[in-house]
Amino acid sequence: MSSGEIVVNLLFYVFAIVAIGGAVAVAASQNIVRSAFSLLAVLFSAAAFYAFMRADFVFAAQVLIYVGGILVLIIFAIMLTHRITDVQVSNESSHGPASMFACLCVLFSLVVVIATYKWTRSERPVDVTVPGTKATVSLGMLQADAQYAADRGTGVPRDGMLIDGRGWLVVRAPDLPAGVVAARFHVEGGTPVKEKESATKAWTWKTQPLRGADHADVVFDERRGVGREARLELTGLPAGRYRWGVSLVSEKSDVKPTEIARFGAAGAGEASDFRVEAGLSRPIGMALMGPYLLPFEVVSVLLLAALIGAAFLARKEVKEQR
Amino acid sequence: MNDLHQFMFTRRPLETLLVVSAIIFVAGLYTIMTRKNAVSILMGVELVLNAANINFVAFATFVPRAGLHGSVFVLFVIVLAAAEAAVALAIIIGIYQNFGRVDVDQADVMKG
Amino acid sequence: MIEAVTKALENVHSWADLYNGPWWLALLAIGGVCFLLANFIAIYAGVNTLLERKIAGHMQSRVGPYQVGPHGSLQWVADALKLLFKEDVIPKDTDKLLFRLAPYIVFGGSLAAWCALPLTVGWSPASMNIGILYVLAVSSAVVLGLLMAGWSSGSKWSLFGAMRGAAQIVSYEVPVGIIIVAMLLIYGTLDMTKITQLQERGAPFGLSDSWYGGVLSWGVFRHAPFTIIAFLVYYTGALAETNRTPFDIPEAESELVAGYHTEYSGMRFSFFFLAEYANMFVVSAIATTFFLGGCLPPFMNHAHAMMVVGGAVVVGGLAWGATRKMETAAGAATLWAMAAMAAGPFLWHSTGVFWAGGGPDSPAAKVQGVIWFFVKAFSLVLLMMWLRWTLPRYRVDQLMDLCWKKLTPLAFLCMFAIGVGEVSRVASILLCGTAAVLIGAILVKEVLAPEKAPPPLPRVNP
Repeated sequence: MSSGEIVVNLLFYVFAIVAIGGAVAVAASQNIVRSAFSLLAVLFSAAAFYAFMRADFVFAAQVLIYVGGILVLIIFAIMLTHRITDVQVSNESSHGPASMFACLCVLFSLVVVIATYKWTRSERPVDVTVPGTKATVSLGMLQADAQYAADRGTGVPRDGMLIDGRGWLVVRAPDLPAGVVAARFHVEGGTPVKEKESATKAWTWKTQPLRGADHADVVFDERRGVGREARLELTGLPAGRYRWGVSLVSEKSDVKPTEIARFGAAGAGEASDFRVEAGLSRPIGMALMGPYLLPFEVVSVLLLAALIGAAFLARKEVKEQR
Repeated sequence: MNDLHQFMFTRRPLETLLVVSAIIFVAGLYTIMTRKNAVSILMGVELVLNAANINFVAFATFVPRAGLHGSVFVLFVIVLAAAEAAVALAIIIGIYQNFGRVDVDQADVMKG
Repeated sequence: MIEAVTKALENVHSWADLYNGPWWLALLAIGGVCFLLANFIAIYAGVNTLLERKIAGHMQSRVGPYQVGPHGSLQWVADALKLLFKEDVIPKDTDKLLFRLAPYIVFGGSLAAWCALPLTVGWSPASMNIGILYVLAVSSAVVLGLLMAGWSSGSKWSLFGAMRGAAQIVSYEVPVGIIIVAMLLIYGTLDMTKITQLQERGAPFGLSDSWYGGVLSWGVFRHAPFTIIAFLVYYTGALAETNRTPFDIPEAESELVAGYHTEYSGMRFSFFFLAEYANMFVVSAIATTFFLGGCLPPFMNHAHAMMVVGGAVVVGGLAWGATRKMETAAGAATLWAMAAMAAGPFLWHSTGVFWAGGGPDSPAAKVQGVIWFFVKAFSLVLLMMWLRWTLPRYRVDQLMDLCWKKLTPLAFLCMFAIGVGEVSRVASILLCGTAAVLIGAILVKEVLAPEKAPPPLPRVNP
């Protein structure tokens, strides 16, 4: 396991243990205030999971609304509905072996389904035949070890969106044609998404072998469980639209590289193969103002109704004393 | 040991996240089923909603070409959970003012 | 040496770049940055306590702490040592786990917010695309630490103080959030380093997008007077968020002993104290980033700097000579400085931000950026301290009334006006002009014909 993976795994499992421990404490604690603060642990861990999945806007919304709003509301409600002078506010629960058994059955069935279903069955990258030979290579684009499938029609991954400009372009070749040692990647683009689609310019970025050049050669090497693979790591790509292409480089220096995929090979007018977005804020904003406009407006009316309703329901009625 | 890393988060992120959210979901389910305090039941509902949210974002991130519909839906779920918690807690405070305690087993009298 | 340090700081992201380098180095880097930041916050907050007491003293015609160190300047060290050695008293009737956990949550929220501040040009310890949203989110986690502290103290007064404090903070997040949204309409990005960069150039009312206007390009002048109103609303909300007078009902000595941290003593109490001062700096830092240009210098070039500083000294000296009063001297010097800073962009045409000693990427620029950032944020903190010892306290119902009935509608008005101003230049000039004329008329009327206080009610003989 590479070093980066160790750190990510470590941090993830710390947060997973906190989440599970907090959830169990909410379910089993005898003190209601303690279970409210264990809910805090669960909510923060859920926010951490969103951060692991690079959904940064959802992370901020979770902490701001759930932790800073809903949890404060719950704690206020606890303090308003109990006699507050006793610190050990008890929280009874009717145990029953029946409910515990039922819940364990549900958990067991969920875990079995999760573990046995082939979740990423459709992730196989597309295979492209190397022109002039019978060998095939497969092209893919990865982000955070998730794999984007390619479009079968054109052989080039399309519609991918990299968040934070970090990912890999991958060429896998179980059987390489004779004499091929490396894959040459070309990446072009980086214009802001609101400019005209056809304007492109070659881009250089700080940490890449493509600095100053317009291509990068990556030697094929064995990867455990996968076969011969050439991976180009992309980091620090500015936001914008990009196109990429791959050629196979032979060890003989006088042989021209065999081009196996070129950019813009899709239909006319579609000038990009993948987009890089700096975070999820902009795509979510475009989605909320686009396909999700009606739900957005309906939710705002619903929030207004909930605000008025809650304020009305919680007012102190003038009634006879008990 | 080397085979163990096939099951770690970085190799199978989707399954790991789904299992964690399943555990949180079942804990929330247990809370809803067994607790007597109305506010505790609401906390269980929040646990269930959070588990569903983690599932949504996990599928949006780790399934190929799923787009970001999962993340947008999660925003709506968070907002609706806030509205629902506000109204539910207002009702609970109303129950407290009428009955003196928020035990759901004892709030079984209709007014009038 | 400076180059090495700044280069190392630039590459902090690739140190923590989790896909290169050994894994323990990544964790060490994260831990190291947090350690340095926490220590810096602790020392800053300590010095801040001393400064508060000195300012309080001088405003009340006394000298404040005077014994420890020259003019009492080491008092904060003595205070810190005293708090460290105090007996750790935990009351009997408390929830021990939550009692111990609360100070760390409150301080952790502040530390997390410090990590995202744009300290210098294009750099912050943890720069992220959702900068300001992240800061707002972790600042709202402080509320829970407050509730935890109040609840677990086992005392009625702590609980009341905590609930009032939480209600106040949560209420004032609304106008603060709306003002931030209003300013985001101008900047179009959540990333605070980019927001600072966008204030390098631009003219008020959207008249130009590429004019290096020095002070006039800052956020607070973009749609004056609505941005000025926005700044004042934000600052008032920030005062309430950090529980500073005039909004310090939750911790006022004469009201609730010490509110939610009554039962805390020793080092735990000092955590709350440090967190309060750290929070003051965070909200001031956000105000400088959004309104006062962040780490950008207010000078156009060396000559301008000379004109502002030297001219202020000269004018102050002349005023002192004429009237022999420090107040008029200080007032005249400040007026000259502000007028000179505003006149600079018209006197000199500049093609870039003024960094003495190098271009915008040089280490000298980064150092100056940090200095300007701290100068601006710290002057806002000093203003908070000034207000504390000047204004009387608001009652709880007056506080809530101010928030919901006065600041929130004003914040919505600012958001609407700034939004309209961003869309069209003509609308911006019309709206801002009308508002300026109205405010000017009100001010003139107040100066020339102030309303007299109503006559006192006749005494009733008992």
